[in-house]
Amino acid sequence: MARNILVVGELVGGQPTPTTLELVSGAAGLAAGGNVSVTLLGTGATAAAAACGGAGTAYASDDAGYDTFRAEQWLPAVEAALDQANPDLVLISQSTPGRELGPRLAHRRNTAVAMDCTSIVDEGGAFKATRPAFGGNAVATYGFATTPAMATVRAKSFEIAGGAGPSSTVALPGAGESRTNVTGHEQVVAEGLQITDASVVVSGGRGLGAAEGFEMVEALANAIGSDKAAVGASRAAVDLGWYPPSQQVGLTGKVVTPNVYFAIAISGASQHLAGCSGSKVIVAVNRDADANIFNVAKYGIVGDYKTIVPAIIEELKKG
Amino acid sequence: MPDPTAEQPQQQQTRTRAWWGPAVGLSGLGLYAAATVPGEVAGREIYFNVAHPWAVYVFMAALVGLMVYGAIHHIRLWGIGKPTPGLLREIPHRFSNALRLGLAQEKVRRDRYAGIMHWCIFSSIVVLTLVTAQVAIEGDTPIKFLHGTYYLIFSAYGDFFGLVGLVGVGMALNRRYFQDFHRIRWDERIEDHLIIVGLGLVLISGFLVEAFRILATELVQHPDWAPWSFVSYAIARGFTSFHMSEPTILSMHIASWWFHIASAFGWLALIVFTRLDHMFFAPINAFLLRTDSPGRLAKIEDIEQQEIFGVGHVQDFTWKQLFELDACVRCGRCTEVCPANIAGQPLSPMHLIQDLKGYLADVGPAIQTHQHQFGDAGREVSSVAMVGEVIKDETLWACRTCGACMQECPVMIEHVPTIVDMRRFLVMNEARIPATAQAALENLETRGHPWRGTSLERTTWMEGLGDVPIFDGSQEYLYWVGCSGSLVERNLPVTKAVFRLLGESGASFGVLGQEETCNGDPARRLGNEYLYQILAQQLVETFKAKNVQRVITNCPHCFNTFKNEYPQFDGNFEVLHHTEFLSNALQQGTLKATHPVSADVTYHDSCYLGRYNNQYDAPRQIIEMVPGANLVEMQRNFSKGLCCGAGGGNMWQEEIGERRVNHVRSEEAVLTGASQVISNCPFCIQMFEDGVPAVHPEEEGRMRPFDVAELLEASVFGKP
Amino acid sequence: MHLVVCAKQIPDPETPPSAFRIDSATNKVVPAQGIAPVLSQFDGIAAEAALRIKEANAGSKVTVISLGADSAAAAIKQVLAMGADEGVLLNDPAFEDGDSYTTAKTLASAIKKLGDVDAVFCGRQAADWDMGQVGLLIAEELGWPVSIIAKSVGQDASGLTIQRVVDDGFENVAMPLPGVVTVSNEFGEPRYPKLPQIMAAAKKTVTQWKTDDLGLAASEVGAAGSRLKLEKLSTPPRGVAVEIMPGDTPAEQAAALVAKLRADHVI
Repeated sequence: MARNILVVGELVGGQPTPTTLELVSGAAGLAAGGNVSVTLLGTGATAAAAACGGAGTAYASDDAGYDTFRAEQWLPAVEAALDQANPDLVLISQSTPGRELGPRLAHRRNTAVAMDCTSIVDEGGAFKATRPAFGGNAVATYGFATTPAMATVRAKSFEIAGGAGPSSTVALPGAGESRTNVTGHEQVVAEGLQITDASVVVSGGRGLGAAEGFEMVEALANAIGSDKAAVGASRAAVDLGWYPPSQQVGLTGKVVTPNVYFAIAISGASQHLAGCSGSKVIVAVNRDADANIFNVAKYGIVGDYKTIVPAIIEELKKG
Repeated sequence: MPDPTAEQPQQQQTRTRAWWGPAVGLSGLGLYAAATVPGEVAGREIYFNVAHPWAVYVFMAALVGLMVYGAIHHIRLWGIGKPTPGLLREIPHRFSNALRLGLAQEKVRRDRYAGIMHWCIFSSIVVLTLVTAQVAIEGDTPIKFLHGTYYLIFSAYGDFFGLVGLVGVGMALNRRYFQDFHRIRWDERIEDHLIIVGLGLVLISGFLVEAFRILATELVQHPDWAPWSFVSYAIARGFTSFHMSEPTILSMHIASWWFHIASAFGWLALIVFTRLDHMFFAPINAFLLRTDSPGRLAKIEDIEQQEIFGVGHVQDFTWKQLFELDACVRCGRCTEVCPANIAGQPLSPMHLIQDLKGYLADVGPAIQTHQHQFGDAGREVSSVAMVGEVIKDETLWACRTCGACMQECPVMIEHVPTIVDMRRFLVMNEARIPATAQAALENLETRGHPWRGTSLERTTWMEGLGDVPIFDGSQEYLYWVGCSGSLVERNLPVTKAVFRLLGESGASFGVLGQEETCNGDPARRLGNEYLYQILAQQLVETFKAKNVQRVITNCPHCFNTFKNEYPQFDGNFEVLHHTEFLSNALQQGTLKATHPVSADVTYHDSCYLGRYNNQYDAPRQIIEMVPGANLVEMQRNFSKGLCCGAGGGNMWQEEIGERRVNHVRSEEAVLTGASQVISNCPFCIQMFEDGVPAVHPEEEGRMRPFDVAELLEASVFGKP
Repeated sequence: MHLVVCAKQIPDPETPPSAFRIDSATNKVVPAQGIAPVLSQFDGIAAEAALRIKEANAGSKVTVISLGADSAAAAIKQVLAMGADEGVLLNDPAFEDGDSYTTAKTLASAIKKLGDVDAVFCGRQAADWDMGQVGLLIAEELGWPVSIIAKSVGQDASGLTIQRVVDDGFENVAMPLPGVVTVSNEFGEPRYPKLPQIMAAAKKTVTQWKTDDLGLAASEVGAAGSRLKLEKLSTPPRGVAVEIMPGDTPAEQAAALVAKLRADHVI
């Protein structure tokens, strides 16, 4: 059954974000011949639409008033697109705009949104959204009682397939009023990313052997992305003065729950595990195959971090 | 090889022997004097050469007046404190404490040098006061007895104890001025010099008075009596070489007499103004000392009816706690053994007590006036907060409640309850807690255990052990695993070891499994008495409902809480630490340690099994019964053992200071050269797990921490 | 000012994974034995934010509202102990098993009933379902402005000044009142309650409202009114043992690892 799907796209620097492109590709796969449309708002939107391979229609406004995201300005524009596209499914990135747009748009359209989904499938004509819950202890699958079905989707849930861009572009109105006003914005560089907020934490322990070992740990974090990964340290490493206490992970330090926790040369003392056991995936790199960290890790590499970590960095660069 | 300087577990007999020496000596002297009794009746003219001896009584009246004034001043200050419950219980025990700890100075003697020095000075002052009193009685009352044989003996022992006093003074001068001895200088004051130099002058002038009198009288008239005053006689003989004229001798005599009297009364007046007051306060504080276990903190009765929790103002201490402040002699022994202080962390028990004492002196009189006028309304009389400013928060949090300070204090001050009282104020009244300790408390409240973020369950340790019997009231023992024993990865092998050994010994026991909850010890030590009481009451009810009679615990903290603190909640159970049970089982032969474990091991006394519950032997007996295990003692052991650093809720706190306590202790363990450090406490083991690699970074040949039960498991079952 | 804190009681997020069980017949989490439900951590932080505004404005009042069963009174008491003034429990079997929409609709009805509310504080998301919708939906129900994921909340003459966490850093937002704020963990830890307040909180009565009190029909709340239907709740397959990356060289092992991580969508 052909389905119409609308993707609420986002722009960064005049280009669609990777997640936007993933969602358009995913939508193309789910549409089964239906129309895939994408909304793009802000400077360069119309031109950027061409990059959205797999979309049939673009709804765009180049109004620079949209550049700073304010939900109350975006919502009427996206609603205007919805009115015209009449989608069965609306896909939104799980991002700063998406987190706010999803629920508010759903409410305004008398429907519901499933947040932070990792997969959307069409099951016999009904969309099902799957997402983790209970801190990763459970997986929940939702169906929708109202239309359109809506979901915000985690990055990298779909592959970018590419393909031809939209054949038509429909202009959306310019930005209106917002009751909330953005008065300032502070871009945070890598150091500012708190280990408690990072989606990846790369931690080093006493097994690094010296403070210099953290250079390699930092290199791995940078290779993953300074916007995503932060560097942590075990209490032992902090005690030795190798890394600042603000980065200590553990019972007496910070409790982190990233998607991936790299434990580099960390033995896995229980006080440390208390600070990282909520991570979705723990990766252990340790010379000692009997190290306790391997009891909690999902993936492990037994070996010297000095050779393993550079290899991981290389591999990530290939990605 | 055992460390020869380490404390050995036999200390009892010397006390009685110490009395024999003087007794035999004095009897011998008497026999000798009687046998050589001269034809004439020996004696002397009291107040010889003194024109207005009544002036002495003016001095004395002034001294008594001063002392009464001082006593009233102090008593009024202490009186601002709250009532001290239970002081009239166990009077005989209290008298025995006053004799043993006050008069016989058992604690003073824990420092051998100071013990001898103090005993010299103490005995000298006591005997010379009696000597002086006898002279006064002879001179100013109709009772006459200072003649004949007794006079000669009197002369001899008077001189002897004068000499003893000088030896003591000499030892004190040596330590204060000629040795690199730190603790007495941590809070040195002018009075410290006055006291010791003053006492020396009193003693020396006493000898001079006697020497000049002998020079003027006995040496001429009764040269056979004179040598009985052997020191003064020797001095007098020395003076003969100066060929002084009689008027000169008499002037020297009267000058030294008045100097002696003036310096003696002046010195006694120091009692009112200086730490010399300890000569009264120490034995009184020994009498006031708790008669129950030091491991028991006071229960806040009717906690829900209280308006203020813990001690935030000086008047919220009991008067006994205020009294203690004045008993402190600034000797520094507490601070010297304090693990926080040793690690360069912000706590010195001596300074804490002295700061409180100074604060009491500053604000006490005003509080007293306010209480008199307004009752409790006039609480805030000082703009300086006692908790937070006089005593800093971090000082209170640095305490391990290890009890080393109380163990050493020669005047029996109980620092730990005072510190915990102020923590109670911080936590319950002010909600001012280090973030990590707060997280532990919140975890206790919401999850019933302090191990935030653990991924283990209370039953995880049972995996692979087959049927683990659940306690249902039919078994003899409840095996209490505890939060650490079930929720901390490192402690699971210990729990399993105890479980296997209990089974092997044929004991009838069961566990509570999922029904275990924290017994509240961390909450109480961290100052949340309210939370502690909730947890304790629940658990006492659970125990009673399950008909628990005997409990074996993994953890000395659980052990102490059940044994010493649950009776406050009407929970009276027979409680054994696993080392006690296992040691008994070995001795009775129900367990046999057959497989050799060839290793040098050192043993770390946990504070709550050792100092608080006096159990030093059972764990050592187990180690000794393991074939091949060779026990090497650390320098600090038994009651002088150093805390691992985790006590008093510090397991869940970030340490502030130069070093970590567990690094210091690990270093001491590593120094023994042993390959294993054996303990009996889940916290100690975690602290060593963390500390040993820090002080011994090489993995090769690194010492490993184990519980006594793990060592025994290897010997009973053989290495897996 | 009259401030409202929305507080949810949830299964303890620190439940050990081995004790976390799901009843697949009802699609519900089976309460773990001996593990009591807790106040969602973000809601405690929201309460802290509200209390700080209250303390800066003499004569202000904080009301804490929870939608839940009888046991949720404990979550309300916890916020009362922190210093909130009144508690309301929305407790009706009809409210059960709702989605974000019905939850927000019910809470918004209660806020309307309170009448004079200036600001509503919610956690950025409930730490069980992690949807992060309710604060936004309350704002939509009430027609109020909203600002989410606040790191700090201040005040000026025209309303609240909020610093919020956005993907690439922080953003300062001015929001007129009445409005809704959702608060994130970056705000800082909530206060530890003082014992006198714990005891005062224990003595307070928690108001209980049902559908009728809110003028709602049973058909528009709870499971009946839900728009999002939970169809399946299951535990993800859990690797019992660590998976050691195959390969003879570090490069091969690294390649295997990165492939795994990519397949898991975690990097």
